[in-house]
Amino acid sequence: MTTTSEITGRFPLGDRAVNRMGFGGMKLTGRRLMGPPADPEAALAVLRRAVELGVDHIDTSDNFGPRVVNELIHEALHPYPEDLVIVTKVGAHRASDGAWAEALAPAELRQAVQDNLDSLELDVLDVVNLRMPGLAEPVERSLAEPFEALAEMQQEGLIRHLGVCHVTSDQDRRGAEHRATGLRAEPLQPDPPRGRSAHRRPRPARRRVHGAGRDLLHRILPP
Amino acid sequence: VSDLTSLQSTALEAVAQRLGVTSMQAVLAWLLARSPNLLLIPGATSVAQLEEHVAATELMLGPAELEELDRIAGIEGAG
Repeated sequence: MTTTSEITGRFPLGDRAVNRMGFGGMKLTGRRLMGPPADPEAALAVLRRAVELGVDHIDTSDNFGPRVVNELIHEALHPYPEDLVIVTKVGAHRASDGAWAEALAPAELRQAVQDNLDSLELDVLDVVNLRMPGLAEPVERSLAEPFEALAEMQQEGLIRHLGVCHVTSDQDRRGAEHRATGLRAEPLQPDPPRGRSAHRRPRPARRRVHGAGRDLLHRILPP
Repeated sequence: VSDLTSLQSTALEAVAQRLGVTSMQAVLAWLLARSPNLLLIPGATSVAQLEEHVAATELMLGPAELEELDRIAGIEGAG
């Protein structure tokens, strides 16, 4: 018999541990992930109740709505509980007609990270997943350039942890290697204070680089 | 759960009914039991639905149910 603690045990996500039952924000939009939900009050209530019930890991993207889900998370939960980990993803752009387009160029990724920081009102994003292209199936393609761009933003202190999403196992391995052995690996030092307040804290020049695969996320985004 | 064939759905409902839970709860508990490094991020549009999902973390599946759910999911040689 599997025990409850084995089922619900916490799992490391970056440098913190979260409950294995998280919450996905994707559905809190209108139809086809566009526009506001039919009942915004219900959406806010869901988010608040989730945190009350011990959910400490919320998955989102500024592309949901677009902006809608991040704005709901902000309205429902900001200032965020200290133990809440918000995971967002970048790599695609949402047109006003709802069409998805790949957005993996460094400038596009930087814009996406900034959009998430703005809509969530954060100084630092907890986890940013690089969502690689492909609809039903991931495609084999180098993630070096986009991952470099995100690693640079991590270095600047805008992102705490990087993950990948919608990748093949080969891409996943290379992403992990990249992070574990990349130029940016520096001796470990304590992480900076978490930037959740309205006041920006000074950021150290060096960021922590974590062991291969430890905080990688593998998820498939429904088309 | 919405991606299941009707055959899978029926089998899943039977397991869930036996456990006194919803199909979604059975699936979530099964996923949690499948691997300790799996994190779930189910969405919900109502508080009731959210509570249903979170309650699945209290559900203890025995080897027989896990095997049956593996089979429904089409996973060979598991359990």
